[in-house]
Amino acid sequence: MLLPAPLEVFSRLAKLVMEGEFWRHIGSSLFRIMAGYLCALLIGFVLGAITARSKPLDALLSPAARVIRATPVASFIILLFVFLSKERIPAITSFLMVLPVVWSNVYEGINSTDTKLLEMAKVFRLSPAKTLRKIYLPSVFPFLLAAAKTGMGLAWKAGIAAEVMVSPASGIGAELYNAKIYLESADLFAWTAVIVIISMILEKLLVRLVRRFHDTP
Amino acid sequence: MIRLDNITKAFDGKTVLENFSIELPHTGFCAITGRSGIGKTTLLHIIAGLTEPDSGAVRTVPHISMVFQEDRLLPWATALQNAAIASSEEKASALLTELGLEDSLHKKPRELSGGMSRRVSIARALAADADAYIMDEPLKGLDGETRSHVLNVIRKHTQNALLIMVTHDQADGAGADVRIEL
Repeated sequence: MLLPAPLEVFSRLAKLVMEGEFWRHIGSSLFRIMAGYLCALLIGFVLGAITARSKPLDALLSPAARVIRATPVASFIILLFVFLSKERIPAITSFLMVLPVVWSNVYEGINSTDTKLLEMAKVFRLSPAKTLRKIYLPSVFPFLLAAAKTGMGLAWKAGIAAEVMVSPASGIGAELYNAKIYLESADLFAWTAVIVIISMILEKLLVRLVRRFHDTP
Repeated sequence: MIRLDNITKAFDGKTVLENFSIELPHTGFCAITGRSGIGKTTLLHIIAGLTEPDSGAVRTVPHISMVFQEDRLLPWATALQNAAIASSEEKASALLTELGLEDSLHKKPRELSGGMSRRVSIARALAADADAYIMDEPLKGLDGETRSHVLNVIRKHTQNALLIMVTHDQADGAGADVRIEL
């Protein structure tokens, strides 16, 4: 009963796909988690860039990154539950999980930029904007791509975990929680499969999108 | 005019330049020779403003272009994009063609031989408008025939400016207006 047959899971999944509610749950989870993820990419990039270029800001802000990184995801969810509505917690949890990863990778990418190329830019009087575009961004790109890929998985898992814990009105995590309390193991496996499939699709889409953007001259 | 007065520079306690003074004209060809490790690259970097001397005064020109000891090409950019980093693609393309790289405009540095990369870095330097062109062994890694052709191209495009060139080969410095032996 606890371990359903693969055919049973597949059959349940096929039924779920036909239901409008299924897509509403996916849409809700995607929206929340992607919102948190994209904000983390943007803010993590800015924080990584400014802390890499400014020692005082690095000293001021970097401890925050270490604290966020060290705090267990469950602690965040419980703490956020005190202050925020259920609907917002998965997005913020995803944001907090991805932020330090992007931040530290961008920081490392900028600090590992070849100083000889920066000297070259100085000699040829490249503007700060051109130096950023021609040297810093291509140097940081592999670090950012790695963070974006790792962060995608983290955001997805943390966001779903938050949904399971706070059980919002709709969302994949809320359905996982319902499957658990009603001992619907086929549902549990079907939703888990959905989570894995969406995570893989998102990662592939992300890599394609970033590569297309990066290859554009 | 470039003028250095009593320049001293040491690295890790080892003095490479001591009370070195020089005055170079607005235009012309200055060849710098000397054995390895004597301070030729340090001298060029001080003129280019990349290295601060420990003491002494430096007066240099506002616009400098440079061929570094290493090629310093952007690995993610093509030969043309590299050569055009401080100028237009038209100018860079014409220079690359003049240097025999017309078939390699869209190749990335990893697809170029050592000599081809060197020519891209020379094209980049020549494409930039400058008062002084500083070149640290620009002909390094080039074979005999290419070497004399590239030297001619360098001389042609730096006629109205100051060319400061470090070389190990006395023949490359033939015809220099100023010779500095370190």
